[in-house]
Amino acid sequence: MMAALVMKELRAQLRDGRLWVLGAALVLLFAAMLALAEQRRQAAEQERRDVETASRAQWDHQGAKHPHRGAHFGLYAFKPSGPLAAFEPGVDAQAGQALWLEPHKRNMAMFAPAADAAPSIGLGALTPAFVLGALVPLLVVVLGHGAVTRERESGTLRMLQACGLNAGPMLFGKWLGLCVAVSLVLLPALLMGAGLAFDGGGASGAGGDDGTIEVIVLGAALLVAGSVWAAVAVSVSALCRSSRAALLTLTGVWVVAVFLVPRLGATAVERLAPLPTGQAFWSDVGRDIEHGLPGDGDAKQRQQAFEARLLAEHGVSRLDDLPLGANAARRLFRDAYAARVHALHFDALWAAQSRQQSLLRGLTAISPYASVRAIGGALAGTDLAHRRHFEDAAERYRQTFTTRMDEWDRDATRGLTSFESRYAGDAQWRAIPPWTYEPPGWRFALGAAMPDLALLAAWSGISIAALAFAARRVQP
Amino acid sequence: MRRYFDSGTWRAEGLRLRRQPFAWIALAALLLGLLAAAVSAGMEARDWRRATAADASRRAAQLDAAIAQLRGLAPGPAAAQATYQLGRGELGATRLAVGDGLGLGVDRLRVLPAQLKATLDSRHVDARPPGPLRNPLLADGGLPGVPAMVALLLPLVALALCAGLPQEEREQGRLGLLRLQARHGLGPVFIAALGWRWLALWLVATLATLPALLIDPGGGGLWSWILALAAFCGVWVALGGLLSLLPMSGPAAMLSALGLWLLMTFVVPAGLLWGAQREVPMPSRLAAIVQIRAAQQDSEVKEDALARDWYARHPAVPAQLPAVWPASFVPRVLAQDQVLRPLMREFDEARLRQAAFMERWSWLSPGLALTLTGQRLAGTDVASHVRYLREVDAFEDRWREALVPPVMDRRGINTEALASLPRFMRDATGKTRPGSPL
Repeated sequence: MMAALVMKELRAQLRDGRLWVLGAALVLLFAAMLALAEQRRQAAEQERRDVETASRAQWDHQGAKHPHRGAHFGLYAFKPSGPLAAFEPGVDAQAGQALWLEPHKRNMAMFAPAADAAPSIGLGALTPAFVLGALVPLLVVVLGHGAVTRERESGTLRMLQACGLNAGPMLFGKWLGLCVAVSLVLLPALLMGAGLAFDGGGASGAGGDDGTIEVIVLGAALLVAGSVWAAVAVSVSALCRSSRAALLTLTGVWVVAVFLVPRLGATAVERLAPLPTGQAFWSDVGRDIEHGLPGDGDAKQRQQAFEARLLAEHGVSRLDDLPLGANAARRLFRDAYAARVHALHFDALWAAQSRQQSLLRGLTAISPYASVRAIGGALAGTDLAHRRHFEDAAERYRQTFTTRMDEWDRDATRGLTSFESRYAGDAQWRAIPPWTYEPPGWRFALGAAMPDLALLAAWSGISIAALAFAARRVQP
Repeated sequence: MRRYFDSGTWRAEGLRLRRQPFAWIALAALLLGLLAAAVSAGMEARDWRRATAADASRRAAQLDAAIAQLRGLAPGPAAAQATYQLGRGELGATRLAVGDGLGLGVDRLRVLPAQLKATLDSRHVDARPPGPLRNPLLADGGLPGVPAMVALLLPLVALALCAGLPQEEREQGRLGLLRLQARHGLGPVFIAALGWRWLALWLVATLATLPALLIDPGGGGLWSWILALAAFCGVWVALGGLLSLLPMSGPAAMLSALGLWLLMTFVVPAGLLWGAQREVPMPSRLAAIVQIRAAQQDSEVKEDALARDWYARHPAVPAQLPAVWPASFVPRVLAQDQVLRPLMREFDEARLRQAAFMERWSWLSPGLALTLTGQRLAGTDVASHVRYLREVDAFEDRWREALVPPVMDRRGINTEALASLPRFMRDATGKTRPGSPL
């Protein structure tokens, strides 16, 4: 009987012109947004590679310099983006595009695209993810709001009940029919998205693998989210007296779920768990380097102890008599300490941001849209976890290359050398291995998406329970 | 004309609207949604004003500390180094001068660099921003500004209130009766119905968004905002009225209204953005990095020549050649900035032209027009921000004029000169005014 109900509902939906007109409009909008976003991403990726090469060439051809001055010229790290980033740009539009890697200090990414953006209405960018994550639910609302009310308004609901059809199977049939109808219309959009990901050639997904798993999980998550909205639409339709009331209620629910809850949540999180100001953060880093972590003594004491050890180790009484570069050895010691302090503060900052993310997840759990966005970001490699993975990798590289420069300086010189002398050349710059970044892989992406996938699964269960609840209250 | 203002018709339509529970629910939801955004924006604006007010005392404390530090140092290399560090420190901090209606555009401060620092380093390559640290996740998903919330919610409520005005009457068979009973035909009845809806929406929107301006102690621009709201409500009520007059069923009119809202709130602004980017392409920040590095390398290669040149152009300062750090470093930064400033201004110019494009076409999207109005009242629009960047450039020039010579003469700044260091000018409300001290 269920099959007959689903087929009836599916036939009714497929005969409804709104499904095809609105569905086609959405698919076209999605295709246009995706093509535009992918074109921009490819251009940005090409530019990133060009700038990476040019910037490295500038490093390699610095000419004769003091090695530490050369190190201060620094290198840049740029975060690559896979094709799924065109679908969901995530936090990348708000975070900096380039990390300047230089001695002594860990920097923050510079040049956030959002700061250069033209003025807009401020309701978020119209991305392919927005089309599938937010506008498809609206399509479901439009198609599903009259699922039961129309039967009631035309008097067929009473007839169906008189024929012995229980409300439960009827609602489940309508729900499944709606899900299948919307899926059929959206199939081209999902195939387009998958095609884009597989066409990326290589690093497609968040993990630099071929992206298959990420695309499949993302597609499944979008379908589940659509089914949740379909269940909500049919339930509300069952509980409302008229189609007009159902449409207005569902539109209100949609606005609250898509715009208000996520945004109010984010604002509440900023107030409940604020981050320090940049001024306070950098001054804390500076203070801990200068005055030392508990029990370490201040910078002067630490340096004196280090120099005494160095002199004793080499059996000399003056730094000038050391059989190695004294300034470079000092820098190695100081920078190791600075790296430790930076790691402590940056880890705390990342932990604070992760807490904010968890709090946001908790506050926005009442909206399935928030979960879908978070899943999209995690699988596209454009969420906070991937941003941290990239910045931590860049920091390890920073420490490696500055240490190598100082080690070369220490081993190639003796005693105290002038900062003005130029004894390093292109050979030393070229000896530094180039920056390469290996994205963390699909397991990492799935791990990052897991809490939100669990939330979406919970939403799925709740929406089916709501359907069962509504079935008990259907009145002709 | 008088027939449109027949008091009986207006009274009857007012009563009809008042007795619709749905209208009350929709208006209450609008009130709550806007109120949340307005309170949040008002608090954010108040925090900004408080921080602005605290700037003066913080600067005074920093200045006292600097004077005490330099008082203990005899003129010489140590004092010059201290001067150099001072010139890179927080004394050169500035803050964007905001407008009276800050609560209407305070959200832009989450994105724009609004607390720049004049420095002896090049601030164009500063990777340690002094402003607030923001989680990009929240910056992207935070509550939009008050005008954006109005643009999002008010049209939906307006369209819902206007939906099916004559259509429902027709579908329920009451339209003929209404036409017969109306003293001057359906026109005045329809106008009265729309007029009440406009008034209700305007009052609710005004009341709900007032906290954005009232919580902020420096808040103003109230009348401009109220007028902008009136116009915005008028546009959407008129559109809702037009839709309800179209020859289609009530549900079809509601779906059309939803489509119109999506089109004017999301699709048109996105299209305009795309058009602005096509008409005025933004230069690439990544490509600028290569130019920044070229300028850095060039100035380093020419370090000695730049120092010699600086001393030649400042005969009053005794030359200390070969220059040693920090005297070797400062002319390099000055030379770099001669290249970098025009480069950075290209971005500002592109932003200005893109903003002008959006402004020119904003009539296509009332929501966008309202948002731009809010930003202008708040002083966080592109033009104001670019003006601020120019002011910082000018302030940085004066900052360097005062601090570079004492670094280059390797004697350091004296306490009298330190006490009269240039300040970023602005009046108590945060507006930049010539001659008014911080």
